[in-house]
Parts: sequence; C-alpha cells; structure tokens
Amino acid sequence: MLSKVSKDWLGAGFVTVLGLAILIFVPILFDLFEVLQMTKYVVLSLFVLSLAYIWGFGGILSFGQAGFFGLGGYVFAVAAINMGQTTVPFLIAIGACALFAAALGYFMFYGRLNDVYLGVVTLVVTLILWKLINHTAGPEYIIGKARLGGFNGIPSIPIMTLPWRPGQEMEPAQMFQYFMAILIAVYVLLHALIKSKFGRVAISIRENEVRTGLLGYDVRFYKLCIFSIGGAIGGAAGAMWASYQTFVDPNIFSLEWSAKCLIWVMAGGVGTLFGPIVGVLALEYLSFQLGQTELINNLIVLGTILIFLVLLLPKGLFPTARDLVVKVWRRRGGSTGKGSP
Amino acid sequence: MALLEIQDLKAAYGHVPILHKIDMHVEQGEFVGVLGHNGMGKTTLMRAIMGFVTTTGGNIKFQDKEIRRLPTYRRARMGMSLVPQGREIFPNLTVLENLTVGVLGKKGSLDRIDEMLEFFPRLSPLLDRRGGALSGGEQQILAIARCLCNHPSFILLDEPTEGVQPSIIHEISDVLKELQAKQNLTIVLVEQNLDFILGLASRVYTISRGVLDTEIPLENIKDSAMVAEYLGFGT
Repeated sequence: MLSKVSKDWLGAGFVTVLGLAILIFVPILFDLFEVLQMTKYVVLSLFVLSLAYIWGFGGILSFGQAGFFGLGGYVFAVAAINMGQTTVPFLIAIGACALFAAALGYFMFYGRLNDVYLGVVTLVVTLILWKLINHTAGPEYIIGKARLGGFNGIPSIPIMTLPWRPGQEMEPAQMFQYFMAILIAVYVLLHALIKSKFGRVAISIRENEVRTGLLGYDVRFYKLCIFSIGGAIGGAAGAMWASYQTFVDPNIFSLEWSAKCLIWVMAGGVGTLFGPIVGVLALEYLSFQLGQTELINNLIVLGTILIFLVLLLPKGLFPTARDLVVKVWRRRGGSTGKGSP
Repeated sequence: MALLEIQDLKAAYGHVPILHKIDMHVEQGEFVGVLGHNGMGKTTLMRAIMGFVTTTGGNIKFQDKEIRRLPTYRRARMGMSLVPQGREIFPNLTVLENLTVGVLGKKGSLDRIDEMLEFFPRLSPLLDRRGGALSGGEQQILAIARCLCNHPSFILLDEPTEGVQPSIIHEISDVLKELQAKQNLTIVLVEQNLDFILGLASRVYTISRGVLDTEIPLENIKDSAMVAEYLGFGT
C-alpha cells in the first residue's frame, strides 16, 4: 500500500519541488519585467486549474469558466476598495464564486442538464454577466465607495498585501512569490482531493454517471461539489488578476477568456493538472513572442499551431511527453507506475 | 413478506410505453429467472427496478417500502444492485480502482476487496490493468465483483453470459451459487441462456411484449415448444 501511495505522489512531488524552486529563484535570476510577465502566467495557471479539475476529473465541460474569473475579479475589487485591505476581500471573492457556482450548479445538475446543454448554460450565464456589467456605467451603479464603471471598468484596485502585513503593498517579486505559493498549494490540494475517496468517485462520474449512481453515490451532489470547487478556484484567480492589473473591466467575462481556458486545457492535456499549466505557459509565451513580430498576424500563426496540435497530439502536450518518456524508460528495461495527474 | 414486490408496473421511454404490466414477487434468498426474447422489455424492467427508467404507474416495494419514486442512489443504499447488460465497468480505471469505487464509504473496504479476490482469483493478477483492456469475460467478472463489493442484499443480473466464453460462464455460475448459499443473497437473473437459468433459478418468469405475470415451471423450460408458447410465440 505504501508503494501505491508513493507512486501516486511521485509526479506531484516533483511538480511541487519544481514550483518551489521557481518561487525561490525567479525573483533572483530575472529582471522586473520578466517577473511581472511570469506573475501573469502564474495567475492564468491558477485559472486554468479551475477548468482542468472540473473537466478532467469530474467530466464537467464548462464553456463559461470566465464567469467565475470575472466575478472573482469584480467582487475582490469592490470589497478591497471598500475595506481598504485585501486579505478578507480575497476570501470573500473565493466564497462568492463558490456560492455562485453552487447556485448555478444546483439548477443545472438537479435539473439533469448534461453534456452540450451544460456547456451552453455556462456560456450564456457568462455572457449575461458580461452584458450586465457593461451596462453599469452610470453613477447610480455604486457599491459603497466602488463605482462599477460599466465598460470603463474599475481602476485603482488595491495591490495585494500579505495577510500578516495588511498596510504594506507587495513588491512585484513578493507578489510573484505569494501567487506562486497559492498556485502550489492549490495544485497539492487538488492532487490530494483527486487521490481521495471523493476524487475517485468524481472520476467514476466522469467515466459513467449511471454506473456510479448504481453504486449508491448521489451523482448530482458530487457534481455540485466539483463545480463549486472549480468556481472557487476560478474566483481566486480572478481576484489575483484584478489585483495584479490594479484594474478590471467587463472584458474579463468575455468569450475570449473562456475559449482560451478551454484551449489551454486541451493543448496541455485533459485529465491532468500539470498539463494545462504547461498549456498556459507554452501558448501564452508563444503568443507573447509572436506579438513582438510584425511580419505576420500572430493570431493566424497561433490558430494554425493549435489546429496542428489538436490533430497531431490529441492527448495534449503533457500526456504525450509523459507517454514518450514511459515508452523510452520501458525500452531500457525500467518499470514505471502511473504518473502524476 | 416478499423482499421485492412489483404490482402493475408500467414504464416508458418518453412517450413510448415499454412495460405495460409487470407483476412479480421475490422472496428473501430466492434466485429468480426472467426469460424473454430480445426487445421484450427485460433490460427496461431491470432499469425500472433500479430507478433510471421513468415508471408511469404501479408499485415497487422493497423490504415492504414503496421505492418507485426514490432516486437510483437511494435504492442502491438500501442494498439493491444491478450488474447491467454490457458490463459498464469504468474502462479507464484499473481493476483495483473499479473495485475500490464499489466499496467507497464502507467500513473494512480493503477486506471486502480481498474477499472478492478470493471469490474471483482470476482478477488478482489483473489489479493494475485498465478495465477496458480486459476480455469480455473478465469484464463481466469485474462487474459482478464490483457490485458485490457494495454488500448488496439483492442483485439484478442483466444477461451476464452475453458474449462470454463457456469456461467463464461456469465460473460465474459457481460463484453465484456459492454466494447465494453463504450470504443468503437474493438474485434476479435476466437471461436468454436457458441452461444458465436452469442451473441457478428456483423459479422463472417469462416476459413478453412488456407484460410479465406468468411463471413457467422449471420442468417445461427444456421443451422449446412450451417455452415458445409461454413467450407468446406459440402456434
């Protein structure tokens, strides 16, 4: 049994150590601009984990993950401006998104919506939020000291502070380390959840809902929990994004963000946690580099790469690379267990 | 008092009625067979008893409680279990993970898996193999073992011999006999394989065009003309 536990945590342990090394060495080895750029990747990695978990380990394909991302950003912005601190608003944003996901999930799962219908509902709800926030430009749309600002967005959102130093805004390097620590913690917690009894039932639901119900599990309740966890993580990422940008506008709810999240998961590998993070890093870095060239429209190049990626590597980047390593290892006479999710 | 009592049960897929009149009872510890041709409603009956086909009338009583409106998972928690046609194991989970899901939330889960592996030693060397990589017979054994992991008191078996090699059919038959004898399990078996039913069941119902209300005496099952008559195909 111990060896099984060790196998389960081998890959996750490696990812955690890698994450800790990045947390320590990036601020030392890279300049300010690069640290800021990497902070953005960290936030987006947390965002992608929200979909990677509910889709890859619960079988819930949400086309509207940007809804939680945006809601987290707005709730954090309003709460932080009113409260003059960031720790409690961060927790409020996470809680609000979890509750919103639970309410939405209740109607979807207890209303027996599945597959494409569930995707359509999540997408439509996100677009409603986008439309709604866009129409809050008037002076009457004010919550305490925070004006929602409609299409102009909310400026001057407070930069995050450390919980034990509420009056002192974080430096960029500190912010990178703080966000990276959150990303590592969420990754480890999700990994533990996947390996727990709850996680195994969730995977069974992904595999076959009816069969799981026949074994005595309340499938709708499990799906509600999975979806709420995804909502909470998406909300946390949104709050971090708002604080990182010190600005949030309705485009955070846009279809572009939901689509990007799906693409990152698909490119990195559905059914893994580390793969979608690789997807974020690879595609965002590529997009950034292409954006610096003026030879050709970078969206055309990126789109072409994505088509080839889906056609040639349908499992995604990380699972393909992992399978390749396992194959080479076996050819050399080694034996291996299953890798990390 | 019967463990399962069904009266005038009706079920439909949308607006299409499939089961018109089901009347049957099963006593504690009995092994009851249900015989019927393809398309007569056998699988729908199993699904209706477990609660994932819409029933439109009648009663289903289990342990003297009306369960027709209970969701599937509540019925499963009362001790009912179904091994569906086509196995429906989790193909991307390993054999061990398939069994583990079967006992989650139960005390002594690992002991129960060991117990199942003693009953089905064929599964022991396959624990790390994905369910989808097993043969049809091995998948059937896994489906039965996983169902038993949940400590059910009442099992519905939907055509367990379909597409399974004879040696494994014998193995399944022997284990079911042993389990029923040792654990006083109540089993309802839907089959087209007459020999399999004859070897196990103490009573056999026939179902024809969504109607089940007739028992066929065991001695008449080997007489194909009699069976055809019971199934509504007699001349």
